[in-house]
Amino acid sequence: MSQSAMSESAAQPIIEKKSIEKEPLPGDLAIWFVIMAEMLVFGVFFIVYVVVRSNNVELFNEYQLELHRIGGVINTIVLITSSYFVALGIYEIRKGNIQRTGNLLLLALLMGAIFVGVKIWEYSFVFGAGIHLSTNTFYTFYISLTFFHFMHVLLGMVILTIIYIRLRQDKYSAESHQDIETGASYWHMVDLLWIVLFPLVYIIR
Amino acid sequence: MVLTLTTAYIGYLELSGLYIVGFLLLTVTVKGQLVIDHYIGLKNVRGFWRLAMLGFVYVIPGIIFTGYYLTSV
Repeated sequence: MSQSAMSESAAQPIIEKKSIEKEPLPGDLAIWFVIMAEMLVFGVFFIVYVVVRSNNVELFNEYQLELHRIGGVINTIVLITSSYFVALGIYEIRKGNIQRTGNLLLLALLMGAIFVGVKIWEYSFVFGAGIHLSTNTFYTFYISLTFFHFMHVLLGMVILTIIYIRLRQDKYSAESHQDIETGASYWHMVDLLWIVLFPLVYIIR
Repeated sequence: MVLTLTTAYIGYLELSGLYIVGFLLLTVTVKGQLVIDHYIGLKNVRGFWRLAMLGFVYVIPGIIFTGYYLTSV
């Protein structure tokens, strides 16, 4: 083997190694344990929903049609858009654009507020019709699943608000912004859970 | 956005059936992977955390589909 061929073959693994280089996990490691725990709980909840539905197909199909699907669609679009703004915010803070990051976080919070508004509007119809947790099995799941998720949206909004306030106090920079990534990861999880929850409870029959 | 609107349209038409369920769950997986890779930014994060997150958007829809399949036969 010639020297140039040998050096070429030696260089090859280095290039390959570089291309699969690990990137660090965004945010604090602790939030990832929280995210895993939350997703596990919701995952179990989704599976139990499917198992219970398999014994009550007619009931689930009948009452699912009573839900406000338009509200669910608006909330899906709003939550994904909110997640997009947060992702853009991370991109901007990495470049050191504090002002733009703040504006994007505000937009994300606005989207979160729309989600909350639509959800309250939806609940006002459900509870206004005298429906509650023990009305039937379908509503037990609908109310518990969506309300549990709703609580996570509220907590996510509190986290984003705290991050926004601290950002305005110049607590973050391009080099130091782990809290923002931590809060963003939690917010994306809330979005991810809704992506599964919405079709499962509102659409799939 | 397109996937969400397609899901909404299917909901509006009140369509049902195993193919519809399969399609809707596929959109869940696609949207979920987009969020995990591009919004959260785990695309180049190797190891347990990305696999666990992807597991959620692959395994859970898979189990849901199996449940609906078993109910329909």
